[in-house]
Amino acid sequence: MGFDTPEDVRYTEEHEWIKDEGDGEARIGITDFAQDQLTDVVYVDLPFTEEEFDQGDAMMVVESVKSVSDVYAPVDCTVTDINEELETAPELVNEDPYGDGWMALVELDDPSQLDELMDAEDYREFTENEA
Amino acid sequence: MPDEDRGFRQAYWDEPTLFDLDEGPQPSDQFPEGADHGLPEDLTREDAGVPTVMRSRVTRHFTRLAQMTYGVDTGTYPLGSCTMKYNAKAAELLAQDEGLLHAHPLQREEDVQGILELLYDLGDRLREIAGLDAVTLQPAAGAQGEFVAMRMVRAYFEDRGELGEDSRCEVVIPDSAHGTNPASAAMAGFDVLEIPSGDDGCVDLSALEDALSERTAAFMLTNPNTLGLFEQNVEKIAEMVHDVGAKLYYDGANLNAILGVTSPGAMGFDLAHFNVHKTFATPHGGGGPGAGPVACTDELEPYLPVPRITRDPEAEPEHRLDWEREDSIGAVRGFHGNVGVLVRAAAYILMHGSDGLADNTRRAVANANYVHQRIKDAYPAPGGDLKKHEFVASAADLEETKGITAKDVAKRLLDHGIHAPQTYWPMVVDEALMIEPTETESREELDAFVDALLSIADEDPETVTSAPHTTALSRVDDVGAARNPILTWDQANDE
Amino acid sequence: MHLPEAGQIDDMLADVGLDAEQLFSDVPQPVRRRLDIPEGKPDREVEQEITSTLAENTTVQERPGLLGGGSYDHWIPPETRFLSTRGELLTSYTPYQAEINQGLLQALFEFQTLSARLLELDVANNGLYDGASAAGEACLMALRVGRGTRVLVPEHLPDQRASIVENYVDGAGGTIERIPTDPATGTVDVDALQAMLDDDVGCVHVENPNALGCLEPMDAIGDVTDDAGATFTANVPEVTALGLLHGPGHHGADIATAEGQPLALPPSYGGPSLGLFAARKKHLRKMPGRITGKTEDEDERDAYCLTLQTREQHIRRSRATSNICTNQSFLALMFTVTLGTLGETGFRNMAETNAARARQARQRLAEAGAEIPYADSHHYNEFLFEVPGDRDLFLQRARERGVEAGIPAERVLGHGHDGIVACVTETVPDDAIDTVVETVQEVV
Repeated sequence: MGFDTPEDVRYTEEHEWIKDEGDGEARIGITDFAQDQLTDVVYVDLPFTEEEFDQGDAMMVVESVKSVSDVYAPVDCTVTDINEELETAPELVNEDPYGDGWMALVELDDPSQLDELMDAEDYREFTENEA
Repeated sequence: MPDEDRGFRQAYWDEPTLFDLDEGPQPSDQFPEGADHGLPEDLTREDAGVPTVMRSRVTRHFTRLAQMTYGVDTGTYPLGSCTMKYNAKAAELLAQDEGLLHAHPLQREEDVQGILELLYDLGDRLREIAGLDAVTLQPAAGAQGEFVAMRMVRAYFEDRGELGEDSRCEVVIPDSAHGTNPASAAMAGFDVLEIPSGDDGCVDLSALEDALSERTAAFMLTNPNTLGLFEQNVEKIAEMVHDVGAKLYYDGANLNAILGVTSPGAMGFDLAHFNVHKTFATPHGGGGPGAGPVACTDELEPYLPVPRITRDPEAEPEHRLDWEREDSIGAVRGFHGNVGVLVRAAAYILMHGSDGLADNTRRAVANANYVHQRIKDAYPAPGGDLKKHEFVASAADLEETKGITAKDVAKRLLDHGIHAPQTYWPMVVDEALMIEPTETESREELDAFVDALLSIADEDPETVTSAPHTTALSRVDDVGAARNPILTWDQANDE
Repeated sequence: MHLPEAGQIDDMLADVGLDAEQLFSDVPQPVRRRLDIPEGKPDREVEQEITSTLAENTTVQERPGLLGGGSYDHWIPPETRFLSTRGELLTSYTPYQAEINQGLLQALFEFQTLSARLLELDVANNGLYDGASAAGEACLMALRVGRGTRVLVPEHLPDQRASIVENYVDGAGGTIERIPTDPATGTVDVDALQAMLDDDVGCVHVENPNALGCLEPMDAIGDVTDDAGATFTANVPEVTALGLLHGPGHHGADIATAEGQPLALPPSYGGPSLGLFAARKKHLRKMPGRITGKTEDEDERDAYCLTLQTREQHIRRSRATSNICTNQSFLALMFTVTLGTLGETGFRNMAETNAARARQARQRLAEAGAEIPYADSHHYNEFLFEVPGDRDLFLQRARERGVEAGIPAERVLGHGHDGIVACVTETVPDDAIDTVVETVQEVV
């Protein structure tokens, strides 16, 4: 399959990734597998800063020409920053899902929740089974 | 070019928009200049932004645009769920009748007996066709018909004191349903519960059982369903829905498959809508207008929109408009509906009668089954072998073996001068091609369509994935359009 | 119809191994029903039958008069009627396949541009069912883009149109309340409106020109609505007014709609009609309906396609911005042909002619002794008048002289009013106006 699955992030079954940035903050986006499934991303509906989410809440919306997908909060968190570049360049999600295509920066309510998420190896296995 | 090249080449004009052609305000000879309107300057505008173009150029403009458009009058249009059949030209001319065009909707009843009589009779025939008790002609399209029906169901339960946060607040819908069903139910104020289809593509009775409760207000069902399969358990479904006190709603999108065979009423439905622009062959007009009359049982009749057209042969005038109905949901659009479209439908029904309509259904189903049998090896369709008026074929095999998607097949068909089927819908089928030939295609046309589909399956992938080649334009960048929405000439020229 | 003989169908099925008798074997016997409607007839008989039925109508051509009230008879250019017979346009469907439907898509893009310009807003869609339901969608969208659930509409908004708005917003928890009418002006009482505004008001919705024929104090309504943080939506029930008057966007409306029928086709007993719909760009993704966008093809030529479809029911299902699928595209096309044919000056002169003729008729009726209730307000092509004595008798006298003097106001409004709503367009003959004036003189 050959999807990119960096080792330094954690993964969810809904194909979000979350990266510990230290100081109780983390960055969120969707995985390479997810962007491939979605095809060309045309719009990302980002949250507002200071918006609070519980784990599993619909947090953002990613649209391709003919599909709409929710992006769920991987953990309990509060939004501290969003990737405003996506407003004019949603294709960054396709081009660089773990880098310039990030979506939100959040403050973690409980950093230990990260440990419960899948690591890269688990996620590779998960996507292979799903495919 | 296609192997069996039918020689199709669509016209292409590098046609500017009216706004590019705008010569700026010029004197006009149609109305006097400077009429004394007496309105103050702060209310009146400098200009309205209407382009000024020579009349000859305007006519050429729209003639060229017409040449770059494809209709049923141009060729085969097997667009599933849309019933793109030949539009009776007699009906078209009747809709241009001066006695209709210049009837005003607020004239006295005495002065519009002709149109009221025609509409009343049409309602009567639709009642019979639905196998139900009462009809409204007001909804402007099928989706608005669904909306009216869901508003009626709400009013019905509200009247009975059953509408609440935990009671009659849900509408259950199969996942293969038209998107309008969940959208209409949600707009009407219901929570939507979608249930997965069974492996056979039909309603999964145990999933339905689990979904139904005293929270259920209605179950919305299309029969035959969007896979073109007749829901053979429909009696059982009706019983289950009625057992929990809910109403059963018939989405009339596929009515062309059952005329003279069965009816919504006979199957146990409480409400139904018609798409007269599908079943009764009124033209689709590039997306509308249609009309979406709703039929219902006597029990739900008090909730129909106002005004209702009534008939009393003893009274003068015989036909009246009844606005005084306290349980009515009110109105969903102005006046009486898309009357011009309804007149066309009335003409169509008169021309065909019982036997003609039943015959059309039989032919529509025969044509779909013929095409299915001929293409099923290359494009298998899920569900049983017997289809109704349409079926959903899958290009998943082609996608896997050659990288040719349903979209590619659709685009390549255009090169053959044939419109594409519906694609990627219903979502329960991978690489879906939803095919509805209708009864007004000859065997020769069906064969040409089949041959085109089969030849595409055998073509080199590069030719297919780069299609279309013979239409006005090559493949259009819909991703770019969505990423950077430019909806007006002014937006396009504002950079 | 000219379909192949039934036997050929059987042969065709046999060729692929199917039995014609078995086509409906999946329909259970207990639900089988035959149809019972009259037998079919040849085209020519149906033509005769329907034509003679419709001839029972007394049309506004046979008995001209001052009829408006939401449906308007205007001069439709011959180009419009002629081009309306182009089968490619008339018999196509929603242009999902952009490459083969560029013409239709370009025309719809032009329609969107006209809608946005006329209504003086940024973006527009392919049109909705009619002005009234477009107004319903506008109010629903207002609740979606802002806060609050109260929807304020004028007391003089016709009951049918208020009911439409109510049906559209009720499912989203919206409730309708009436803003008092200023009895002196026949327009919204702005002080009363201001007193009603609070954080629960999601939307203030008005029509301009209104059903009493008066022009609303749009700037004032816009200001107080904006100050209160509510969304201002406005409907123009007679689109030709926009040849002369500013669009609602100019007065601060966030979402605006119009009834486009007057420029697309004659009244046709009230339908089909056409709803124009425009909004501010920031609300683009909350708009209902089909939207056409400009893009390019692979050879970098200008191209158009349906876009932002993820808002729509076929993708977003129960979370769609609207349930609308089939709309009124063909009327949008005819609307575009009409305006293209009229041009800026033609459209302006048409609107001025309407306003001027209506003004003159209003003055003559007043001189003849009719009461003009809101004489000091501004009007476009409609106004109210009252006659002494029995109104129905007066209307009947006019009818006996071969004209319709107007529409009893409660038939337009749905609720009580003693007046007669009169409308003067460019198609009302001079002598019809003369006759109405004479009839007034007779009863005074």
